[in-house]
Amino acid sequence: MNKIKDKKLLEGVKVFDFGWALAGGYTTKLLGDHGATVVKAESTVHIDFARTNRMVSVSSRTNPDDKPFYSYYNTSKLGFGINLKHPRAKEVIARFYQWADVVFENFSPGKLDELGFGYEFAKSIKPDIIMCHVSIYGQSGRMSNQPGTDGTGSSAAAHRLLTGWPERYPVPPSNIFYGDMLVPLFAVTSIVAALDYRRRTGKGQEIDCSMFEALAQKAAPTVVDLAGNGNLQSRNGNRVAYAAPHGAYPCRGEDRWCAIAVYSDEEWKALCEAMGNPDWCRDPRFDTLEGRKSGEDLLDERISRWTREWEADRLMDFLQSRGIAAGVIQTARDLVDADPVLRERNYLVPVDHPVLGPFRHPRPPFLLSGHEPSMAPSPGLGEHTFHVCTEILGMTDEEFIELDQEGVFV
Amino acid sequence: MRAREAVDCALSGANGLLSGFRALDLTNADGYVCGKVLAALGVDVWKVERPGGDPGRYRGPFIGGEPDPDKGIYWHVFNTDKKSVTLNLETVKGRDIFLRMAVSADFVIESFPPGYLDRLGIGYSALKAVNPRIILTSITPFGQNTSRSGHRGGELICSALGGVMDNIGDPDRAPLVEPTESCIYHAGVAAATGTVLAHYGREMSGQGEHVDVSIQEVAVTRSAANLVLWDFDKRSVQRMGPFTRFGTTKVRTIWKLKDGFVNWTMFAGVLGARANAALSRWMDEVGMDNPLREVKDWKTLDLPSVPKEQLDRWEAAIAEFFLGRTKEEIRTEGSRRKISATVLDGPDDLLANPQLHDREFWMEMDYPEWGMKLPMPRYFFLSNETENFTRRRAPFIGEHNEEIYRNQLGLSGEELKALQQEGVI
Repeated sequence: MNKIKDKKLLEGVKVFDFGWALAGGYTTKLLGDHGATVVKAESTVHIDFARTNRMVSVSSRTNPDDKPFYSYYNTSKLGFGINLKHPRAKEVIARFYQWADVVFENFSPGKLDELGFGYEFAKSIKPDIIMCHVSIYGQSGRMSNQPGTDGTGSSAAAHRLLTGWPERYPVPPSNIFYGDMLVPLFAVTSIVAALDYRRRTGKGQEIDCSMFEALAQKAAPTVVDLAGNGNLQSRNGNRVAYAAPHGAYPCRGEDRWCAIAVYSDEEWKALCEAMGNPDWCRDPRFDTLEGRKSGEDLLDERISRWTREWEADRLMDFLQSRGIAAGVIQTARDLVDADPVLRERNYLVPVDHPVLGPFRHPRPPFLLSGHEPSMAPSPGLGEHTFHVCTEILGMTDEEFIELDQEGVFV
Repeated sequence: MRAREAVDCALSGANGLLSGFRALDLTNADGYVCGKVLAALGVDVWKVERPGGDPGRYRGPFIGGEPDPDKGIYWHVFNTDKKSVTLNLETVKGRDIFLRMAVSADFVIESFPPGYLDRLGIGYSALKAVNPRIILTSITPFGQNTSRSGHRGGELICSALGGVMDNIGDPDRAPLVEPTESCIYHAGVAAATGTVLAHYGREMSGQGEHVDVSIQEVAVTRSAANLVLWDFDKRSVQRMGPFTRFGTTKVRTIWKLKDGFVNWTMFAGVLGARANAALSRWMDEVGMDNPLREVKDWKTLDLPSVPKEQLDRWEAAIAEFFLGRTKEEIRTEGSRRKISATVLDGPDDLLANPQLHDREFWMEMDYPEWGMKLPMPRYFFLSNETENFTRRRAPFIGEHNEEIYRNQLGLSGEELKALQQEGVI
């Protein structure tokens, strides 16, 4: 495919970034990876806590620049160390607002205004500025000031209560996210659409993305089922109304599983055939979805007996070759070391990190035939402070030194 | 302008971020979300369905309970604001009509098995030939041109292969999928992001492109913490019931209340200091023998260095505390004290949620045909300058055939009749 190689998709777009934590980091990373110039404001006093996450053994307690997890979410940015509470911070921020097309932030709602850098201030400097806020509950409403994390959004939006076995505790994911990875996509979508809108109309805008609401949209079918049918859905393991069997089945080896989903009666016949048409499959009630739903416990038990004899990978391929939806429950090891599709699609791309050396980073989650994203390593804390002040703002060395000596930069 | 006036104003004249652009939406249930996001931004989305209706219309549950392709709940939630035309792409005439539509369209969204549109002669190269500006967005389980391109997908399978299920469930039972089509939804939103990026590029260069979204791959983005752990330390975290891993520590996250469940995680250091101290104070005030008092400074608490015996004592005390509280207490007193605990709300709570009420998140969608009103989400995000709102209910099968074929494509009454008789529309 012919790439438009001479130009990055968002080349020339300038982003001033107060983003932090996963949702903040990921939003502007996606913009940077597609060619926008992103200046990330950070400080040692209010440190991005992804810089403190020592989940892997190479990460130290003392060096903010040795966290691979931070790097995933902060590629293609310039690191700008500034103490936002310094009395002279405002004149520097004002100059960045003058420069920027987009200002992004995900502090607690109201915090940016409190600091004096909110939308009204930005607009007074740059009337067509695009400011995008990300938060848990949104910028307005009685719960907007409630603190929260990824789990807050998931809990409030019925995601967590509906996950788990009916007779047991609901369960969170052990080590994965939902809202933190979802809401940045709305932020990027709205920012990029707003850039196009500004191109057509000359108008900027203030955008308000709430993780809770992004998740509440997903749960809307359960709300409609309740309002329209009086049916209150609850957690039900792997079972769904529209398919049976539908679950994870044990395979050979330690904790190996294969998911199988049968949507239609034809697929059910194909599964029976794949299992060698055992006698129990001939029960006529299994011929329809309704019948299979009513006998799902038995169905699951019988299928499990059969799947236990299989290697998960082989079972997946065997069932898929017969047109049945099946997939191995992949572990992180499977994803990183083995998954052929992630390799074919170059999902994990080596990036040479100045402290950690080269390691693989996930690229943005879509492929564009005409534009290739590129990931520059995440910045060290304040790594580009001098560069962005002199090259982007055009400060003289003297100006920079004066502000630095006063403690504006950290 | 976040109140009712915004809606009224929007009704009088479309002012979404992308009003004035048009999309042809060929997706099945794997891809509705992308077109819904574009429609909310103001794009005129034509849902092009096979005669008889899109297969996703047959997904239950249904309004009223009985299977009816015009009443699927999943269909209705994720196809708001779209128009529906029926068209049989497996006929020559159907493909001709589709290419005529593509000439004036800005986007095509599809979720057929990879290669299907090419085999029909209406894949990306054919679309590009009639309209070089067009953007084709494909949403499939494993992407275009991969060794799993022929495989069947769906929510469960993509969640399994995406590394999500491995992380959810009780250790003594099977891994679990997330509720309410989480992978499909996430991938649909990612597809909208890719599409809007491509749109921006197209407006700059005049050239469209093909956006290729793999549902599995979007799910993998959520597994990033596990990728890091394996890549660097060859360690992995499996499902651990109501616990979560934070950094290097396993901490309980779901607790039982008198009348439900609550989400509360002890975060170490600055991140959790305020909430931990607030919870400890509340435990003191109810007169508990509170072991959290052992912590002198929450800001410097380093969870990995707390002995397991001590963590277990803390956990038992916190469990006892929560078991004595109600959902209402957590919502009111817990919020006031900022303990950062969130009640696990269900669909009923979501509809009654005061925050969503304040922001007018739910709208009452009118279904005069059924004499019903149903709640629908009104927006994905808010903006002060544009109105990116849901306004119209999802269409019935072929509801806009007349409007689009006669008024937009200029087909005559006789032509329409003939096409109907030939099974094209």
